[in-house]
Amino acid sequence: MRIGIPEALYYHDYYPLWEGFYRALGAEVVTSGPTNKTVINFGVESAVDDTCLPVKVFFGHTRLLAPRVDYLFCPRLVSVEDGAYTCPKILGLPDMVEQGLPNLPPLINTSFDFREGRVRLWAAIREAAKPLTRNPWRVQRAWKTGLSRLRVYRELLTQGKTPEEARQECLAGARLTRRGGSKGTGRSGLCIGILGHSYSIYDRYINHDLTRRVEGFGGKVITIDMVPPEILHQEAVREEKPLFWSAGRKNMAMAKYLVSNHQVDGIIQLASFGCGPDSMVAEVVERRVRRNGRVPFMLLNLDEHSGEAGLVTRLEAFMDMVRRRRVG
Amino acid sequence: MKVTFPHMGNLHIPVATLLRDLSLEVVVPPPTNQRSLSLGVRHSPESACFPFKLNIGNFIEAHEKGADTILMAGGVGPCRLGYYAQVQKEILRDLGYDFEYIILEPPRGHIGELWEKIRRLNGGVTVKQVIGALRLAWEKVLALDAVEKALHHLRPRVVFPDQATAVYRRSLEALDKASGIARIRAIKVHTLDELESLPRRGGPKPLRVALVGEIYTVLEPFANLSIEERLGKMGVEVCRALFLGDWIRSNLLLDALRLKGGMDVKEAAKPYLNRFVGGEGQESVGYAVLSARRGYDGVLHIAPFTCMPEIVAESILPAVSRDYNIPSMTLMLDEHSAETGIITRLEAFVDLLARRRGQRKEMEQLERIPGD
Repeated sequence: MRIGIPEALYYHDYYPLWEGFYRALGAEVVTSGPTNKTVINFGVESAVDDTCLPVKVFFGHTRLLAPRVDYLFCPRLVSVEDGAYTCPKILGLPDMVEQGLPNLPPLINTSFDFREGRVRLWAAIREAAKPLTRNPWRVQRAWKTGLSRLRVYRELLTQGKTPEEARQECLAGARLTRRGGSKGTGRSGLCIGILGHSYSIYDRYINHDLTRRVEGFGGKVITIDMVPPEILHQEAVREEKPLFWSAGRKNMAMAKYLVSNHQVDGIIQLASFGCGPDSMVAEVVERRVRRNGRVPFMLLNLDEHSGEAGLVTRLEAFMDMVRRRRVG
Repeated sequence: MKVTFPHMGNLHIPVATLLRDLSLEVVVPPPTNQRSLSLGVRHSPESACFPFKLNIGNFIEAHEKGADTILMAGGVGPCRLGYYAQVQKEILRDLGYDFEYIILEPPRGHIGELWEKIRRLNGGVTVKQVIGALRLAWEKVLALDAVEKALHHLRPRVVFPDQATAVYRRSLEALDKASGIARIRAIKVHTLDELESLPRRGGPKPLRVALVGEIYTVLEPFANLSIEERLGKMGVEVCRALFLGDWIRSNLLLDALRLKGGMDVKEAAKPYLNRFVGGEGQESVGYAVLSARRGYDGVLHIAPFTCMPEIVAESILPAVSRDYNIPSMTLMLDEHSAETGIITRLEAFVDLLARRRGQRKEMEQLERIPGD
């Protein structure tokens, strides 16, 4: 049995969990590979014009993967934490995919809603395992395997590993170890905070290898995944009205954390064209960071047309400014 | 304290009545116009949704008229509306406007919470006064909806559609000024009579088009470039799914009482979109299905550009179209929508519907030829 997982949207947040889960149930897990030109073209062709870049990318990956698998993993992630949703388009994603792409293999489109409590969640997990087994003990064991993989993965990300490195170490059987602090807390080089959805930060094709480029300019990158979730949670609940989008909530908290801890020399906010939450969150973050006035800020809007040269020029100028401020 | 609130179609009529009857000073923003649009666009995030931008314009223009307090709806998502007020606050603050905010978050079953908010507006208010004000405002909502429904029905059927529109406009003014339930009812009856008595034109039954989509764009003629009037003049009967009263009933009253309304719509949407996706996304799909079942000629789906729930609906509507053999068209509207572009698309859509109807008639006649 081959189960396909598109490398888009929440892939970077949960892949080790899903992969661990389905492998433990005896399935072969197939992914669509990193985003490339074909993926983008497929996505632009298949999704409605008005939708956001990330959903187009998801459509592209799904179309690429569909002919190669028996089942397509396309869950409906309604909510991943209490009091928050993901976003409307992710709520409607399986329906959009089903209506928009022809000749799909059967979808595993289980709804996951973490606000509904353990019983419902457990039912959802069993539903997601249905193509493979109905044995609840096997399902439970597999879920635990997945969860422990996810925990190791998150820990590795906190330590500053890239998702690729972390995934490989997970596969190689890395264990949970608390190595003190994230790598290189010393403040010798420039430190740049990158904010945005995981699928904007980690999709190197979409953001034109932003992380690598910042590092090339001598900057060290800090992302949301490198800050312990507890800290972000504390910042988030202090908000007058905590956001009802999980990713936006984290993004906002991260911005606050970076500004108040004087840890960074600059902040780059990534936003996707057509993303509803981004349009609001990035606006508030930009206004707050600018009002504070201590940290240089740049908003990068990503879309399927964004040219590499434009991005590089802006990044170069931004890094120059950050460096001059540091020296001056 | 001078309270203002954003426009949404005729919403200002009942809301201003309600607030005035609670002995508050009300500043109704000037009707949404080109200037509110450019002010809103200038100061809003580029990819914020269209209603957000028009709200900002309304607020700035209300401030010029002396408003100092904003009454705004809240929400719990996942649609952006629930976070409008917070972002608008940041923007207006940076612009130097010093507003007080009263944000009506859905009261999650606490009627006391709502009461507290009302007391914050006016400390000396009594329960009796509140009930009276609510009744009067609600009566206005009902009258507005009745008049508007009659207008949509008659506009394609009268000789001079502009006459019908003029009668409707006059009734809006009268309803705005009316104080007293008897007076409101009298205006309603009078307007309906007046509309009925307009000279009718003969000819075939008008085409019927269902107008579905996001509530603000559906209700606000400035945002939808008066799409209903345009269609009416083309001889098309607009069958709108959502009226102000329905929206208030399902979003404010039933929600507060934790009841779920509109089950038939959700039931109809089920095979295509079996889930609430925020805003009116699921309703748009459901109403499209219901319209097809009722034998309408087409479905017109309108929404602000980048509206998340309606993009989900837009992706799914082609499937409804295919299964029920009913044409549908989505128009995404924002500050860039050009009148000519919209008119051209509307005309093409209406032509298509008319031709289909003609073909259907021919088919029926062919089938009726005996011995064939």
